[in-house]
Amino acid sequence: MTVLLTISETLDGAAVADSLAAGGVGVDFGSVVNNQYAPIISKASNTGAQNLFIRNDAVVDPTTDHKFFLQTYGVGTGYTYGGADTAANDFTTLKNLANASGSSKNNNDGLSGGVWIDMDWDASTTNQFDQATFPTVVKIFGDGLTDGISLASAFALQPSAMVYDLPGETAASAPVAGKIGKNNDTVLGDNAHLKFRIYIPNSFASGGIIQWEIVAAYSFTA
Amino acid sequence: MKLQQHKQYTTKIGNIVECLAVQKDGEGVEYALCAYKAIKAAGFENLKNMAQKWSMDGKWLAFPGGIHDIVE
Repeated sequence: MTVLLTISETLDGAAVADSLAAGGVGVDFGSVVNNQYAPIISKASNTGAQNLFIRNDAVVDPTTDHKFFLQTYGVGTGYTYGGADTAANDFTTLKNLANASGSSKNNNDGLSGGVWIDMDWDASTTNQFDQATFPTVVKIFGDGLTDGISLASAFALQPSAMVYDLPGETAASAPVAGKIGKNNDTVLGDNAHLKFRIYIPNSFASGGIIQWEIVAAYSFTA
Repeated sequence: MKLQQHKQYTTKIGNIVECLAVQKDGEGVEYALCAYKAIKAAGFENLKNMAQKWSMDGKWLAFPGGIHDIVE
């Protein structure tokens, strides 16, 4: 039996359903300006992020080998590109931003760029997206022009992302890298809670809509 | 919850802390400098009146682990 994933913005919530430019359906990060990131609440408090939760509908085994990578918009979804440049150029732009990025969590130095993921679901506001201090859980898609841009270079799901509904979001008791448990699995956790941001450095001159895909790859039995 | 200067809070294991000051780290992000005022859990006596760092959302920054986190 095929095991499918649901990606939601809240724990066990409805699947993401933002309308994207040119007709796609996914997640709209909102607008971002130079020296900042999106979604943003307060730069000084390092708050604001796009929360995404991943769960499966497995009935026999947990899903395994969960990993994430960036790819050109439309390749996986078949969606028509609706941005300001081309899908291929947006992919290149994001990789270049990542490659040139600094590591400031709140873009304090104006050098942070690209799409970032933080896989520690309950990191403090001071520590979240602190890539320099927590490089295992905070990753930049396209870093070095090589990381997180293909299945082979994908970022593995970290145990620190795993939660379940107690009720109330609660850390899994013994999570394992790359694994998402079945519904109500309190040991592995039944939801991966990931946080994303897009950063734009001071030097970035282009404007308009930019589009990309994040692939959530995994293995399953039933 | 956002920590405020001169207010007292309770940690997960019942210790009482008072936030002395709000400071900024190297990237301009605020954190709270707080001191233990009342120790209710054994083994933490040596922390009393020592200034410690918490994030503004109440999580202890010295090392991972939730027992020092502030719950109210």
